[in-house]
Amino acid sequence: MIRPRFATAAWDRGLLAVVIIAVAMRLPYLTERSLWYDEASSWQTAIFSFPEMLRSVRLNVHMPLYYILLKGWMAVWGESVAALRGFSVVFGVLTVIGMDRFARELYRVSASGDDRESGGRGFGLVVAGLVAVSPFQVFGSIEARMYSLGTALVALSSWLLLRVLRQHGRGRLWWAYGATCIGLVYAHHYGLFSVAAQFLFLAFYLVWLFGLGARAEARALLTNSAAVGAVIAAVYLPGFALLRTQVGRVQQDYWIQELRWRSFWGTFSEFLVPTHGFDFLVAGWVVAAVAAVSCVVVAIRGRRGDGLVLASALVPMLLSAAISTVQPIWVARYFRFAHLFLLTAVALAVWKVTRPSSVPRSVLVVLLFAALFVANVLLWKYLDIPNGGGMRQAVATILKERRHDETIVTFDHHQYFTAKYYVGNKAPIRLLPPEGLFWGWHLIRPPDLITTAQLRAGLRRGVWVIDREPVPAWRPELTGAVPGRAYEFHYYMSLHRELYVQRFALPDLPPAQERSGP
Amino acid sequence: VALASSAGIWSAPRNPAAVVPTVPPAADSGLIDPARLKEEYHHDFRDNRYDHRWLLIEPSGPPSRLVKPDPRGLRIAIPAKVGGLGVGVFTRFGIHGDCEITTTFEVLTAEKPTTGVGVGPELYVRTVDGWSNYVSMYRWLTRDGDKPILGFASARKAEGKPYLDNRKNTMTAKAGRFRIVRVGPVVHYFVAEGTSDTFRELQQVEFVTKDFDRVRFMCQVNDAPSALDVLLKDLTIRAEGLPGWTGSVPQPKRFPWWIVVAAVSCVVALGVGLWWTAARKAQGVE
Repeated sequence: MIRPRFATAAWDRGLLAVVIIAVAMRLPYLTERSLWYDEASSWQTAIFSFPEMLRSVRLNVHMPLYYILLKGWMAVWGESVAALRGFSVVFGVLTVIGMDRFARELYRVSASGDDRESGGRGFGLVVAGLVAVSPFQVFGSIEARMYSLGTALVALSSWLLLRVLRQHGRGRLWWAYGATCIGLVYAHHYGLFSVAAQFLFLAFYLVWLFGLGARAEARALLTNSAAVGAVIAAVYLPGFALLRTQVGRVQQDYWIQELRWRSFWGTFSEFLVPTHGFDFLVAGWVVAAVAAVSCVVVAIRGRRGDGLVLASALVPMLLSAAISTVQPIWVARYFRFAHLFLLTAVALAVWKVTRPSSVPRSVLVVLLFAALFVANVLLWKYLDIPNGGGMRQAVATILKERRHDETIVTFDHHQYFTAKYYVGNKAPIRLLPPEGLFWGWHLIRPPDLITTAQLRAGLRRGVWVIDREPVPAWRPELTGAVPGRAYEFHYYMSLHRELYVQRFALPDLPPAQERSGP
Repeated sequence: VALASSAGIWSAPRNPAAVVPTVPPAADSGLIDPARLKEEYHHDFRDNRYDHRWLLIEPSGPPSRLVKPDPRGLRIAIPAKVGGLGVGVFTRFGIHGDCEITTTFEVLTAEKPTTGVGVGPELYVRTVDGWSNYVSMYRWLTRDGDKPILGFASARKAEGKPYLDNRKNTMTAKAGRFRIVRVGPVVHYFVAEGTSDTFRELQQVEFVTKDFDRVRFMCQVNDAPSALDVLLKDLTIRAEGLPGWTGSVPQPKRFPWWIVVAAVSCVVALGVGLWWTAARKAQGVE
C-alpha cells in the first residue's frame, strides 16, 4: 500500500514541476512588455460600466465572458499590467493542469496507450509539459486576452467528456461538461468550433456503439448528449444573436485577409514561433508536416480517445477554412484551442510509433521539448523586449518631459488606448480620429476625442503627438506648429513596430499690435 | 450544427441583389479616348443595392448605421444634433492615370447650418499622398448664403508648399450629377443639374498625375447640428487602371454549398465506415 502512495506523490510532484515550469515560462517581461492594442482594448472594455461594456462587446467581434470575468478580477486585483496579464497566466496554468488530466484520461482510451496508471501519468506529464513550454500557448497566456480562458475551458470540457464516457454518463458530470461548453462558446467564437468538434465526435461514437450492438449504452449516451446539447444550444441563443450582429461588422470593415496559402502555412509557423507576422514561414511547413504525419499515425486503428483528439484538432480548422471561402475568419491565434490537440496528437504519435521501446520514445520526447525551447529562444530574441519599450517607454518619456499644461494627442486609435492606459490620470490624452477610421468605435467615447479646434488651442501651450509616422508635421491640424523634441521607440509587436513621439507648439508670437508690418 | 448555422450566419446578412446594374453608367465625357479607359467600376445603388465588396462606410462606428440601402438609392440620413464631420462611403480601390468619376445624388433634406463651413454632399478623390491632396466637388448649404453653393476644390503640396484652389458657384437643383475628369495633370469639373444628362463644365485646374487612392462620397455636416438626408444613386469610375480592384462587376459570393455537400458526404462515409467496422468487430470477424 505504501509503494503506490509514494508513486502517486512522485507523479504529483512531477505535475507540480510542470506547473512551476509553466509559470516560469510565463513570467519573463510580464510587466516590462508594453501592452498592445488588443490588450488595451480588453482593459478599456472591462472598465466600462456593465451596460456600456455589453454595448461595446456588441459592436466588437468577441464574446463577453472574458470581459465580464476580467471586470470582476480587476475589482479584486486592480488594473496593473501584472493584474491584467496575471488573469491570463492563471488560466494558462489551469490549461496545463487540465491537459494533464485530459491526457491521463485519454491514455486509457487511445491506441497509443494502455490501462497502466503509471503510463497515463507519464503521458499526461509530457502533454502538459508540451503545453507548458509551447511558445504559442505561452504567448496566449501572457496577453490580456481571452485565449487562455478558452484553452482552459476546452481542456476541461475534453477531460470531462472522456470521463463521462468512461463512467457511462453520470448526470452531474454531463452537466459539468455542458457548463464548460457554454463557457467555451461565450469565451470566443472559435469555442463554437471546438464544441462542434466534440459533438461530431459524440455522433461518431454513437454510431460506433450502435454498430457494436451496445444499444443500451448508446441510447443512454444519445439521451444525455441530446439533453446537454439542447441546453447548450438554448443558452447559446443570445450568443448566436450577438454573433449575427457582429458578422455584419466583420463583413463591413474587419481586417481579416482572405485565406491564402501564405496564411495557411503562416498559421503553422505561428504554432511554433508566434510573432503575429509569419516571420518563420519555413518552420510552418515543418510544423504542418509533423502535424499531418502525427494525425495520420493517430488515425490508423485509432480508438475513442484518438477520435476526440483528431476531431478537436482538425474540425475547427476545417470549419474555419470552409467559412473563410465566404467570409475570411482564419486568424492564426484563434486556433489556440485546436493547437492543444495538435500537440496531443504529436505526443500520441510518438507513443504509438515507439511502443516497443522506451528509449526512442525518450529521445523523441526530448527532441520535441528541445524544439520548443529553441522556439522560445527564437521568439524572445525576435521580440527583443529590452529594446522594444513601445508605448510604455513612450509615455514614460512624455510624462518626464512635458510641462504640466501640455496635452498628449494621437491620431491613431491603435496607439490611443495603450497610451491612455499608461498615462492614466497623470495627463490629458486625446484622440484626433482620422477620417476613415474603420475600427475602434466600440471603445471610443466622446471624452476620448479632441477636435481640430481644441488641438489648435492646445498647440499654443504645447502638444505631444504619438504616431506611427515619423513626423506628422504635414498634417493640416499642425500647420504652423514648430516641431520640437522627437523620440523613436521600438515596439515588439509586428502591428506596431515603430512609434514616434514629438512635441509640437505654435511659435511664441508677440501680440498682434506689436508685430511689425509686412 | 456549425455548418448549418454558419450557412445561415454568413449568407443571411449578405445582400444578394448587388449584381447587375439596372441603370447604365453615364456617357463618357469625350475628353479622353474611351479605349484608354480600360477599367470601369459602376454601381447602381437603387433597389437596395449596396456593394459590400468594394465600398466601405465612413466612419464605421455607430454613425455607420445612418447609411441604409433604399429602393431610391443609398440613403445617408444624418439627424439633427448628431454633429461630427459627416457620414459617407469610399472605395477600397484607387485610380491610376487618366480617369472619369461620375456620381448621381439627390438631397432630400438639408438644414441650413448655424455653425461650420457647410452642410451637403461631397464627391472627394484623394491622392496617395494623403488627406491634403485631393480634388472635390460639393453642394453645400452654408450659414451665410441663401442659395446652396456648388464648390469645386483641389489641394496639393508642391515643393513643400500647400496649394488650395476652392471655387464656388450656386446650385439650386436638389438632385444632380458631379463629374470629375482628369486628363494628364489637368482636372475638369462638370455638373449636370436635376435629371439632365447634359454636363456643364465648370472649371479646369492644374493638378498632379499621381494615383488616387480612394473615391469618397460623403454627406458632410462639418460639426453643425443640422439634419442632412441624401440619396447616392450611382457611382461610375472609368480609368486607365483601378489598383486594388479585381472585378468587372461585383458579384455577391454565394455560400459554397459544394463544401457543405462534401463535408456531409465525408461525415456520412466516415459514419458508415465506423458502423461497418463496429458491426464486423461485434460479429468477431477481426
